[in-house]
Amino acid sequence: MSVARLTALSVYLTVLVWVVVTDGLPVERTMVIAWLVVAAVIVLGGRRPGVAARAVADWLPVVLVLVAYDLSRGAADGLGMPLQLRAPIRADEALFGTVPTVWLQEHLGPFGRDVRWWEIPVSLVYVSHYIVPFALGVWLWTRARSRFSWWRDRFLTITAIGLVGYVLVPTAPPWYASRLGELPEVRRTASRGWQELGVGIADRVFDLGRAAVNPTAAFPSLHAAFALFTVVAVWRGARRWVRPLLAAYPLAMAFTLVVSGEHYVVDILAGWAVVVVAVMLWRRLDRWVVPWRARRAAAAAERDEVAAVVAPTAPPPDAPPDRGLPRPVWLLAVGAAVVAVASRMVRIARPDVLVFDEGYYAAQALEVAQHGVEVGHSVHPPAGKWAIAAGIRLLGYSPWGWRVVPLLAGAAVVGASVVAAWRATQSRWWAALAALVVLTDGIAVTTGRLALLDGLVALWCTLALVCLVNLAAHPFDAVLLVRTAWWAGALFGVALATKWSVVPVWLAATGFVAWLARTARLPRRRPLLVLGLLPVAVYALAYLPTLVAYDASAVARVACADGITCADGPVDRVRAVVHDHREVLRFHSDLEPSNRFAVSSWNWVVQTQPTELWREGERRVVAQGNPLVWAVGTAALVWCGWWGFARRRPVPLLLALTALGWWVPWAIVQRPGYSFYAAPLVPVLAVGVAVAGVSLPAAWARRAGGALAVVALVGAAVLAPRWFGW
Amino acid sequence: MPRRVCRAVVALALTLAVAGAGCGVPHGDTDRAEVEARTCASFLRRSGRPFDPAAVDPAVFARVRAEFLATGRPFSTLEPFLKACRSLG
Repeated sequence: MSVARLTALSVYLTVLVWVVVTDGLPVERTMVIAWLVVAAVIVLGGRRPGVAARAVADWLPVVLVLVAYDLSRGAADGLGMPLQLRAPIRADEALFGTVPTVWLQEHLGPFGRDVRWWEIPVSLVYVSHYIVPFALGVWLWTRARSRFSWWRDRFLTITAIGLVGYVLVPTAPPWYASRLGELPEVRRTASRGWQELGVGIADRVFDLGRAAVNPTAAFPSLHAAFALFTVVAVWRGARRWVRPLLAAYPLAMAFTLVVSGEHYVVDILAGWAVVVVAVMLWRRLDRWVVPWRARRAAAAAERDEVAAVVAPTAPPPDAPPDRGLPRPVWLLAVGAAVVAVASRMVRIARPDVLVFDEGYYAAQALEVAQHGVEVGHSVHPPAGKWAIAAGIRLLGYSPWGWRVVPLLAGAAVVGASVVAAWRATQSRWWAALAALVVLTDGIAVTTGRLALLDGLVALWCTLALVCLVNLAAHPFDAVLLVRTAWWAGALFGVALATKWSVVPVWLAATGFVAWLARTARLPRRRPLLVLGLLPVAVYALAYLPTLVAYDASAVARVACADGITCADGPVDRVRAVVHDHREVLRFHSDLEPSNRFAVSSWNWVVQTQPTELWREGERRVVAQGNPLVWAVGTAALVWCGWWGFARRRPVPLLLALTALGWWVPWAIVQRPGYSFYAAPLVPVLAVGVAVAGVSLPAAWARRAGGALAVVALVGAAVLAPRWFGW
Repeated sequence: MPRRVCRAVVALALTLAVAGAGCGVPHGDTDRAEVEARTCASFLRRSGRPFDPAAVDPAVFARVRAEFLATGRPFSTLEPFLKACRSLG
């Protein structure tokens, strides 16, 4: 095993142990997949080139369908499908004359404080649902691609059928029916065995797996389906003496589900039927799919062979590449920025009060302008406040003063999106469409005319994206690689000193540059050092004013009140800043959703839960994107992800990584978020649309782009009063 | 204009703008109290609670902020504003 892989494995195991100790065993299904796949990639890394990209391309559909499962509750609610409460009870009574769950709990209960021995295997079998199917999938993935494809096709089909069931027939499980008075007392007992084992994962399993996600996802039972499917997948290759044990697994799962009050027998039978349907269906589909895949694999192998011959020998161009922008693109970028300023400055001083988090940021910016530091305690680094302060210094503490810098930043985002889109596509038409998408997006508009930090983060990160897209378009340019590292590093540094949420995107960008340099066989130590360390240095620099004007700062007050230090020597000041960071981290970790407009990042895709920023009477300011444009943009980014990971295309890969960097952390963390946190994602979405659009067949491309432009403009016309508070 | 000169001018302008941000704001405290009074009136109108618009005086906000500053204790940016506003409606 190479030193690099050994190091990666050590880091992996260290982090895994840390996570298990601090947070319990990971049981959320997408996290389980992530842990297993990363382990497989590290182990296989040295033997199979491109295994990481292949892992993402192969597992992305599985993760997406599991995410769709988590969203199915919302879909069922949205469609207004009636909850099935009595029907499964009647079905079980018709089969057994009674409800087996109730009968079992009456005869095996009561479930008091003491846990019986058989409740431990029940808990183990229940939790195996979250690990065993995916462990099998990853194992097959490491063994043979054809076997993994077999497993994945059927797994996705089973899950998809299950999803349809949850959306169309939301069904209450026995414990829920009991709470609603349709059954005698039914207790949820599947977690009791964990109490006996003393393993602290039970609550999280049950929160994540059942109640928090979709408590009415009972019919069909995917627990039962996955257990049977796992056995079907390994049955042929299993030794004869193992087969009785395998056969016992779905039966044990069925008993577990019924006795613990999670499912009716009819749910389990439906789950098993889904497996049969999926297997039969694919037996027919494989006649076409298997030969088609073989043809594609042969074509891809041929392409890779050509690439392997071409890539290493592609010399750096003799003459410096043309990195300048054509004049029409400059004009387009400047023109789009001017339109942004002109359209967003309309009544920018209305409302003439502090809107939403302007109450913090505008006020802190004033304090920065007056004292050089924030006097009231702040939970974000100071760079954004310094930027807003420049406007206040110029125009006074008025709505124009605190909103002029975000206005200019928002306009610059529009212009930068044009440049990024043109760099990515070399098409002025698609660059113009990208500009239109950003110009007409409600998130971009509201953050581009209010003193919120997210508009400023969007600016720094979009400028960094421009640099990185340029690099992705010139992957063999060693000079550009170093230059990009400096520019992107500085920009990520300023963004990081505005809001910490930039960290995942910065790490994703660093990973991308490492991959690109390795693929192009360019020296990568220096650019990676620059991209890794420069943002940290810029971040530290942002605290220089705090160290200088320390006495007036909230940092000094907090350090003294908390007993860290009341002195103001150089070391005390640094200690106070470090303590302040700990306090801010604790604030963000413990933050409870206190605003009813806090929304999950899952909703960014459909934009149906906008954050209301201000309201008075009938007038409201709402941060909401055009749902259709966001849906198309998300589809474009998913396509970029597939294209980038599977075909190793730098520009789509960069866009997909950047989008994931913005989206995934907010999807995972429990901290409440707001719709306008998506502001830095808007330009990525717009460039993604351009990249996806330019790859469409020419006959469709213009029509699709034109249709999207119409949708964006009509949406803006309809939604603009909500963005502007008219 | 050569590109290098252009970049230098932009960098200088940005540096001056940001560095100049910390040079003070004329009437900053007065303006802040007025803005907070307007924002408070908007909150109270929105809440539907009865309040006397004439009582929403910027001087109240300036006084409460001065009290917070005088304690030497840490406080959140919005704390003085919220305390003053709650006292009015």
